[in-house]
Amino acid sequence: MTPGSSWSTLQLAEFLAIVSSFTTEASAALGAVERVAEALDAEVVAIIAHGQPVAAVGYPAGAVPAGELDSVAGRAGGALAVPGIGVCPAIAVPLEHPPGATLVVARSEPHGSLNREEVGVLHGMARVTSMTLGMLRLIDHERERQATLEWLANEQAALRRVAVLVARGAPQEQVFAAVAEEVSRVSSADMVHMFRYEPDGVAVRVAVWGSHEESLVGSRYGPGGHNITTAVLRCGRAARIDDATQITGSPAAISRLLGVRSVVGSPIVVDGRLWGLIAATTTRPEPIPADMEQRISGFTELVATAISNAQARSELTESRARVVAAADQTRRQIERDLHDGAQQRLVALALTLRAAEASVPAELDALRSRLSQVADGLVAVQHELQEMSRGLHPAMLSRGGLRPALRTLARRSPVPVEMDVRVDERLPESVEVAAYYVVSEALANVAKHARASLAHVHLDLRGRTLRVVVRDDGVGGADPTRGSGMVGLSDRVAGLGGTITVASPPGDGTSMVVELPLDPVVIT
Amino acid sequence: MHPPRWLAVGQADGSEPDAGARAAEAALIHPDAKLLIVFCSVSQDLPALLRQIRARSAVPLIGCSTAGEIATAGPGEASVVVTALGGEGFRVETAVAPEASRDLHAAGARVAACLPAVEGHPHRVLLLLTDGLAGDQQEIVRGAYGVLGAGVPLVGGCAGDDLRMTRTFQLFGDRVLTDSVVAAGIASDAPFGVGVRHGWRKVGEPMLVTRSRGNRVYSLDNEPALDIYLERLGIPPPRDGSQEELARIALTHPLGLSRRSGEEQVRFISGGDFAERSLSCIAEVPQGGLVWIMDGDADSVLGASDGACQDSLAALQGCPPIGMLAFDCIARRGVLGDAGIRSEIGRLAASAGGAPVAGFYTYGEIARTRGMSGFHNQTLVMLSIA
Repeated sequence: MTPGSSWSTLQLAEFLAIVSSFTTEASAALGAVERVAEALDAEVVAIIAHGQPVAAVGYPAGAVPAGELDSVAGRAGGALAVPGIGVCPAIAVPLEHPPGATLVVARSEPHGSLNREEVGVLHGMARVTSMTLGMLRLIDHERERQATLEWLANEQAALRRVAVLVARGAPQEQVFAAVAEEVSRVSSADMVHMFRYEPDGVAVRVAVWGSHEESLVGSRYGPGGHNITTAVLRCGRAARIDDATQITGSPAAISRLLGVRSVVGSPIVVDGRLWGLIAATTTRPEPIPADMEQRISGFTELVATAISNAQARSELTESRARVVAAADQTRRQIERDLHDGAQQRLVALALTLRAAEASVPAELDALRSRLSQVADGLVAVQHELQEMSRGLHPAMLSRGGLRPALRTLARRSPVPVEMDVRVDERLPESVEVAAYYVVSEALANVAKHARASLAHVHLDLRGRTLRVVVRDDGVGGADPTRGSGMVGLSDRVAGLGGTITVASPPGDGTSMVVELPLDPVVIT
Repeated sequence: MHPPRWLAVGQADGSEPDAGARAAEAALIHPDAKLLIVFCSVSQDLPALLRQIRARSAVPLIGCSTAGEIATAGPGEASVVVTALGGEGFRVETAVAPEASRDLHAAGARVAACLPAVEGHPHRVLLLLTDGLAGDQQEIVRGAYGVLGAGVPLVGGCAGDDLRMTRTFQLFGDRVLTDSVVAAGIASDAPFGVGVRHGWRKVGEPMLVTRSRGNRVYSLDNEPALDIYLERLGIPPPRDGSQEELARIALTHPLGLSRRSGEEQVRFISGGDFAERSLSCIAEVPQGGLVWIMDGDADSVLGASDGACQDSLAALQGCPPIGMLAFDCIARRGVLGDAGIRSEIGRLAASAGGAPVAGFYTYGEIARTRGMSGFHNQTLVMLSIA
């Protein structure tokens, strides 16, 4: 192989090896024009497509004469004025890729115009460049497609994580915080905020994910001015502000403090009513991607579902509580009526009878004995009524609190009871009543079904929750859904937002754990 | 009245105290200096040296460590050579790109942006001092060319470290850097001239580069590159894989790459890997290319020196030079020997016709005036300044 005849092959081989090693279309285009220039000792090499330079060398940066290059490309050659060099002969070779592109080469004298061999090499290089750029375009597309798929998969995973929380009935704060975090993960937002609208249009921040974290939760922003909370409130649709310097109104100060450059807000609509919004902000100069609203909308729907579910649960809880409270009220009324009415009358009748009995002459012994029997009967009826009214509403509970009321229950229980009450203070009435009925029903069950020799009742406070435990050493195997007593009990406990757990392995006794929150459950 | 353009060179023996101060004082012959260029040995305390020089003048400064310094008086080792350039006829801006090896193309583009565009100063040149151990230096040329285009010549060299081949330094203002590109963009009302020659010739048949990556050549004609290289030279492999012995052989036997116009591109071999039998060069050796083993002697190399001087002076369009900068490959020193390099510098001084000459022995040279290739090995690059 002699250098002269092998020059073309050598140049093409080197060119192919190098240009094919670039990994992006842009770098390959620049690499190709640089290597063509080096191989042919040319001053100017450019790829021009539809009047726009794709890559060019030989001109000062920012001074590539697109029009002049395009004109040479159109005529397949001519001359180019190269700054600092002068007019150079130029040649243009069409490229198959990018579509409509031409490779333009200009070389200064004395070498000037390319000879036949050099033109041949240039055509070869043009072909290699076309193929490489075409291939990289395909690869870029494939990469984009992969990235889109990956993004979709990430979004699905994020939605799934939130959906699981919603389905589990996780506390709203936890759902909100998770949504804010997931939205920031699947979008390019720097911070994500969630707001709830109050009836007067004030937006309250209920969650935030980003640099300042929870310190902002609870902040309130009144309506008015040019800002995202007001924009979404007014139009009820997604809105965006691309230039945050234009923000006015109450969120303006915090927006500047956080360095927000642009913001997108997407409404949260619960049961047809605007509940709040999710706002995604960036602190970078480039605008938020056009599809951001769409990216957020999947999450706003989940949030709406979570809120709707929680509201439904809250309503159910409230209605149960109302039913139980009404029943308690009725029982208390009956107990009072019995105490003040029938019982008093019975006591009065008994006293009258005793008086009558005393005034009966001694010779009417039989009558006195009858009257005495009737009076005894009246006292017995009065005791029975008292017992009945106690079952309806424990008067002892109202008077002395849980400890004496439970002690009475224990005394009445046919199965011996060990009592361990570690609560001294008075608790909300609904909680005390519920605890009383829990123990009452549990001890009744022990007596009826457990065949136990001992029952154990334990009460204590864990934070703001009352814990009631009733255990026995009986046969176990109890079915917690059995019996109307248990159903009433679970309604009462659920009405307070509490829980019942029953464990009753066969042969190993039964234990029931009831947790009753002292504070009423409030769901907004 | 100061001359409209002036250039002066000061040289001091680095073993003397205050060498930097004395070299700077000798160069600062007029008060209106615009640029200081410093060439010195790595054996100097570089931060202290810069402090001494900048205590004399705080004008923009670029410089580098060398593998030997060049001044009109002759070659120096462990010396300091300071060139001052000044006068109303010059406009100068300097720039630095640290951590250049991360993206040499971008580093070249970054420093090129400093070149001033001034009305009445149509002649421009970008002077680059780089770290030749930091990767393919043609990438820096490509980056600078992309910013400046064909109209601005690029000239300069890669810093040295007295042939230790471990770490070279670039100087910028009061900073001592490594893995950096420093540059001075000079605009003048008079022309610049650039000449580049090597004087090597091909020996034997060409070899196909069957596997290479960047600067590393793994195989030639499908044989391990190191083995075939030594075999062609008829030299047994160095005992114990001695890098020093290989470096000595490689100094006078670089690789040559075929080029369309001008002389072959020469690739200085900086070392070898005796485990994987590969060669490493100072610049890219493309896979699929043809290479020759090159050979030179004192006559051919000195002939090239004359040629480079004449080419650079001819480009001054008849203006007399006020000074010349020389970027001389360290490998040529190996061929010429001590007497040869003294003779070479004598020839440079004679060509300059009394104008001062300054320069250094490099690990690679930059000279681009036509086309886009601009990085060279084993050459003498001359910049004549009118």
